[in-house]
Amino acid sequence: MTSRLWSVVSAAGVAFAVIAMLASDADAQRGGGGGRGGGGGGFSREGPAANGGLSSSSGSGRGTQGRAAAQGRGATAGQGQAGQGRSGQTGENQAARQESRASAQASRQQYGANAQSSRQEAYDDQHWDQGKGLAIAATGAAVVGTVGAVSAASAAQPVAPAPQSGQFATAPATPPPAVPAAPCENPAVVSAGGVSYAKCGAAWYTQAYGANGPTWVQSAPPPGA
Amino acid sequence: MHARIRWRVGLAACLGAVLAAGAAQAQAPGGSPPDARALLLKMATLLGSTPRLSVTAHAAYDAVQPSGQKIEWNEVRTLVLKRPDRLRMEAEKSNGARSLVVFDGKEVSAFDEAGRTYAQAAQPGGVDETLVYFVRDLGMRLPLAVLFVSRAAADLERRVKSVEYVEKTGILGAPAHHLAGRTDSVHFQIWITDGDQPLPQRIVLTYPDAPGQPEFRAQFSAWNLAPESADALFTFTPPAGASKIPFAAALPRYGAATSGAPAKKGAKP
Repeated sequence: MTSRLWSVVSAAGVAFAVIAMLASDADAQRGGGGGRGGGGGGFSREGPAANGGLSSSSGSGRGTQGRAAAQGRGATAGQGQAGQGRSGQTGENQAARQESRASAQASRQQYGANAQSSRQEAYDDQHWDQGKGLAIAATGAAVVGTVGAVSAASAAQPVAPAPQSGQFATAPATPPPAVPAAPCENPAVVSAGGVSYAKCGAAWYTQAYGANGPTWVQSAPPPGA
Repeated sequence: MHARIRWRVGLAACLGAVLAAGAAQAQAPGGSPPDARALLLKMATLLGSTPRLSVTAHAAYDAVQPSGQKIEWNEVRTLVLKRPDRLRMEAEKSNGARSLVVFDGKEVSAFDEAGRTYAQAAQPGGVDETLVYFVRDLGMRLPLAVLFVSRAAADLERRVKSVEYVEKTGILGAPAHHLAGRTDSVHFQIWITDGDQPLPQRIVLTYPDAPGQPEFRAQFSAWNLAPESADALFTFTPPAGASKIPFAAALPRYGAATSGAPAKKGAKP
């Protein structure tokens, strides 16, 4: 009797272990959900070193945020100076002088902004491999108006692509991963204009090619939805 | 007593001999080390001017997780380049994901094998313009792309603020010069083959301003400066059933339809 009970318990234990392993494997293949940017077990593949560039925008103070902040400060200063100009209108001559000064200030600010923009463009051109576009492409940042771009992409799709046995010259070293998971569980998938859209709650997603391969990005609803 | 004196004299002689040998060894290379910057630019000039090349790179990079832990991701990339306007790159990540990038002089195509999806963008111009467009405007990954533009030497000359000679070594298989340098935002080490073909054997990039100071490492192999490369190699034909999708960077930003900045069509660096 005891040995029979022991057999039942052992069988149940083995079954539980097998189920746990299968579940774990399936989860690993999904890559933790989301696009291909996530690694197995939910580890991120992102980071400045992923680009392998000789320049990096991380911590250099030359990133987009710093640039936007600088421009914002410039705009605020400009508004303040314009406000001073408006408050000093006590006579025609004075108004003319103020206007002249404001115009000169605006001109200087415009020149400064242009110069700053030129400097930034020159910097960007010299550091074109710093991967600043990566964040947008890899994280699947929210996008809108995908219909036009996606339709354009699908319009150019060959009607009958020639079969090709092997795209790659080398044999794979590792079995291929699972197809990128949908942005949510059991999304409602709609096809429009040859493009697949996935609906998760109130949000729509479409597939796009990012830095780490195909990924889902939030998009406008498909036409007619 | 005499024995003690003799022992002390002997010990002193031995110490003197050891010190003298050490000093002689330190000066043995004779004179100053090779010019590190010249070696670096010589390598870049060779890479930038060769009409054709192929190379395989076993690369790894650190991704610092939100927990602070570093994860190393590995990949193998094989690049075939035929100037002025042909490029092909096969990549396989450590999870088995394989991708292909092909530039045929008119379009740049990226294909993902597992997802059976591809994206294409018109890109008239040469390899230089395409590399810049692909990396900067499309936000795609092509590590060390700067080494493969024809103006690589000028790019490095402008960006490298300092570079020093570390040592000569044969530890990687062939005699190489080990250099260490810095750009504005990246520290790098590079091992350049000694001799007539100063090709890189290994490179390590460190990002000191990024949290965790992650690194990118690549070991080069199978350099070939005269690969047989038929035009078909640079032609991308979508496999049957593959879906065409847009480049993510080419899509306007969600919620910013008027100011969204999709990637420009084509690029001139």
